[in-house]
Amino acid sequence: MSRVPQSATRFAASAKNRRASALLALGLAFAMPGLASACRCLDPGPAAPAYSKASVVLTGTVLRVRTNADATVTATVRVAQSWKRSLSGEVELSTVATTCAFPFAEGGRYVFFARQQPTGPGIYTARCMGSADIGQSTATLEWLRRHGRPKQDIVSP
Amino acid sequence: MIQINIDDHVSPHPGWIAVPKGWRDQLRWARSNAFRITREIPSANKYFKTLPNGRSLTDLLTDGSIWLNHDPASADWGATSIPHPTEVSINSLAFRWGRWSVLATLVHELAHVNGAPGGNDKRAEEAVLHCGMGRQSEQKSGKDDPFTPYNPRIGG
Repeated sequence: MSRVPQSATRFAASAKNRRASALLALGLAFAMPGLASACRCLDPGPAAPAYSKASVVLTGTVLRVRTNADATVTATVRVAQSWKRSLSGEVELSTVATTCAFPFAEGGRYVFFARQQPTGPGIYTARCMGSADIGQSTATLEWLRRHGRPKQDIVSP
Repeated sequence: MIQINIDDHVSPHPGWIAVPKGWRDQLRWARSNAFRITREIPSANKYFKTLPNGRSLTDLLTDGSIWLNHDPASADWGATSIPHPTEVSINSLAFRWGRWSVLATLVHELAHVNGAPGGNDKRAEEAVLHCGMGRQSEQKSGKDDPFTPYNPRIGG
């Protein structure tokens, strides 16, 4: 049995004291119900903000997954379509070595919102960057179809 | 006691650094209040003992091998390292939401240190609920009450 201690209600007061950031965050929470996901992070929600933060967006199938010596995981992905940058054939996409890691599954088909590695070459994704199973991404794909530029079709998804 | 990295620790997790000076007081407040929770809310230790590693919240909070770091590249609340499971990062989103968010993130990440799985498993975030920072109605409905730190939509 859990309860809310009186002091926990100060969470709201604390938020008021940080009005600018808290109101923005609470606004996001109201505006995008059901969008928070695994890791302690807030999913970007609709495709637009995820797209603007990504350096490349792609759809594709995970062919292979390997765990690296530093515990990061790298997936080899056969690209079906890409936006913002032209990608072709197979690309390597990594994820972080924390509880925010994206759960690649071999054979899985995904929409990936990826960013350039902060150090070195390559691209990475993580939970809460907008990446998701393609079967749950109808709205995202529709948004990309309408607004994504430039798009490159490689093979049929 | 769990340690706050104030530039006296080199995290083995790449890229994780000392907690920025301006945010350290929030993290100290969160650590103190986590201890208060263990004294005042019996369900906290009871729940933590049900997690895979079976440790109580008190046991974790008194473990000096657990380090609280900062990941400047992260826009999330927090994370726990997979290769170094006693290394935790508390990140910018948590600090920007305020100290109650920092406390909830600390509890969530300590649940991971105690073996709570990531992914879509909700046991780490449910630790926040059992530490008195949420309402059972949130858990039942799956709808977040933004006036409590607990968020039932957070998995992993």
